[in-house]
Amino acid sequence: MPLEANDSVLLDSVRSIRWPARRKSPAGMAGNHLSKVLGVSAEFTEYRAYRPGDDTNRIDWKLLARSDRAYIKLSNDRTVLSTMLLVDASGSLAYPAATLEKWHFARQVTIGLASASYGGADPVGMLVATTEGPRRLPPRTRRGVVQDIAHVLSGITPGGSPELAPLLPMLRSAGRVAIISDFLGDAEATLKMAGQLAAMGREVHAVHIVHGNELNPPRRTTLLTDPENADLKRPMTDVTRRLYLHNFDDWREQMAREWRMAGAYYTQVDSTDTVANAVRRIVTPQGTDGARR
Amino acid sequence: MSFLFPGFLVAAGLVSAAVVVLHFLVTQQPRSEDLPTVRFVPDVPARSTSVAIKPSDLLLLLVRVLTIMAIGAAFAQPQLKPKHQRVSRIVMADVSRATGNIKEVADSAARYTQGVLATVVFDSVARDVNPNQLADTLAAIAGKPRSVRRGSLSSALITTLRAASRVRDGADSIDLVVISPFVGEERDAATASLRALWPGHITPVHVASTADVAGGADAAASKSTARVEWVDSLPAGNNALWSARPKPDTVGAVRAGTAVMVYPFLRRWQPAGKADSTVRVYARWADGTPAAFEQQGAGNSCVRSVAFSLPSAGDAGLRPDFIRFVQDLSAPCGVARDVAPLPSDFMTSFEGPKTLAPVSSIKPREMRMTPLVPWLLGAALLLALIELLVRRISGGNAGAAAAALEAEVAKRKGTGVAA
Repeated sequence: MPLEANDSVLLDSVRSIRWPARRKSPAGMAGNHLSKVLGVSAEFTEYRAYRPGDDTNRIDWKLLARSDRAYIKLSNDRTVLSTMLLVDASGSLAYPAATLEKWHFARQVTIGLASASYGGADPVGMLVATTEGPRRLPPRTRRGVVQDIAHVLSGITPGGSPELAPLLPMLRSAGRVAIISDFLGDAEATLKMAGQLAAMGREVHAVHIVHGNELNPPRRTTLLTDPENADLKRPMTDVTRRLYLHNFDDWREQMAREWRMAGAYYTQVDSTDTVANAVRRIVTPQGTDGARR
Repeated sequence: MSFLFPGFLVAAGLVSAAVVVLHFLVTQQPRSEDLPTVRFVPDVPARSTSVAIKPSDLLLLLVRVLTIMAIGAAFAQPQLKPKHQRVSRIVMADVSRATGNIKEVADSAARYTQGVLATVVFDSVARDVNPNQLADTLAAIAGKPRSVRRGSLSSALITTLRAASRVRDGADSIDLVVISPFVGEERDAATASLRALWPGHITPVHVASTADVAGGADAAASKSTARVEWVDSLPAGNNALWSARPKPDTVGAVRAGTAVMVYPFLRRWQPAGKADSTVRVYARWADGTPAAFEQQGAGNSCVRSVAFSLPSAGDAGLRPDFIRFVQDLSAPCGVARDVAPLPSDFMTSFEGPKTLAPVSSIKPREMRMTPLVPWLLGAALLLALIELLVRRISGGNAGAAAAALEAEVAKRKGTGVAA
């Protein structure tokens, strides 16, 4: 399935990006992420006293000869991390209506994340919340899965107000879940369900898509309309613009705080940045201090 | 074309300019756009004033401007300048009782029709008539019974001076032609003074007086004894001049000429309506209402219709004033009339200098404009300003909300409290 020209450029720009797990992953097939289970690979990690039932082949016989104590050698096991990308295709992402710039940015971020995950040999899949119902691609490691994701996203036009929260339980089997959304829909319910996934040991990423005009609205006086709710009209003047910026900043800070408190990794990306930078910021571990980026 | 009050036209132009400016300075809903995060924008009434880049409703604007300019022009009173001529003429035609033949007056007037801008027809009252209708007016007067009104040169001169002010812009100088028999009764104490107000020559055109026409018989006829009709003695409904009063009353005196009779007269009659030109009031009650009419009859006869009865009781009939009063009632028809031609020295001074009256010496007509007009215009301008103010106030809800938002923004900046 051929890729769009922009997607090819995008994949070239994110080709070197990998998406390491933020913590040890559950045991699974051999992969690139540290496993919670210490295995028998060649990479030595530590000794442990022999216990009945252990494989005698793993006893360090030289150490036994020197110390007359039986120890077995342990090593870090590496495993794959199944990644599911939950994409919000609500009407709020169809902005601006003429170019759908916000949606295209979210779509390219999704493709970039899929590529980064696929580059680490992780199975990657996608679940898109649309008004016609969820569109699901199960996690795969086979070749062409990123192209499949790109193709599915190309056929979706955002609109309506689909809910994300009911879809999150479908992602329990995935080791990593990335929610790509502007969180202008059922944000509270989504946060609650995502918190449950994090509590279950899943690595949850909240990728907050923001358009440049949302961060810095035009200074001209306009009557603004919510694309998801045509009845919601508000005037944008110099005065209301200042209060809007206050409100929006406060809301984003609150969102980041709540997501992090729920055990998720929150990253805000805006459409004025390049997709490669946005993907790099999402996948790069930032420590545990929860500093906002 | 000129304007008597061009200031109004200038004001209308200024108002029109303001309307044009206001037309493009429109209050309208701002342009609508989508924004997904619109929920974070405070909800305040939306209205903004913006200059329309693309002109719209130009026809409406044109109509408004034309309306205002029309009103301004109406107040400015445009004047179409008459055709200017070197010498124009005003004709005064005498149709009083002294004029022997009205047709002669009409014929004389016809000789002076060239350049006539105004004509004045007078007896005791002067009327400014349209020059084009002078012949018809004189013909109509000639067709009626002869007027019993005394001619008045003074009132005619006053009307002529007004007419001259009206037509002064149409010529360099004005020739005043007076067609009259110029008899003594037409002159009064004010005539010479009023004549002095005319700043040029007056051309007198003599026509025959009644005395000339009658060959002196008119004076004799004026001596004929009048017939007195006592209304109280006439059969009911046989008198067109009087009607019965709904409620008879008593009047203390009646005057006829110079004689006054004091007596509690019972007043039963009142004038039936407007009398024609052959009827004049002969006696009046103490309150001024007519008590007797003198109506000119066929030839030189006359009938005096008296609406009261002479006292038949008491000593009133013995008093000298009663005798004088009765003599006046039975006096010959007509009052003493001076039908002698005016003396030559008066006529010389009446003609005045040889030069025609220059229009520069004639006062222009004083325009009488109601003082309400400038007030109305001022009120209209004030209302226009008030309309702007009201529009601002009605849109002030948004302003008040904006002020509240400003305060909230400042408060947040000061305290650092998040929403």
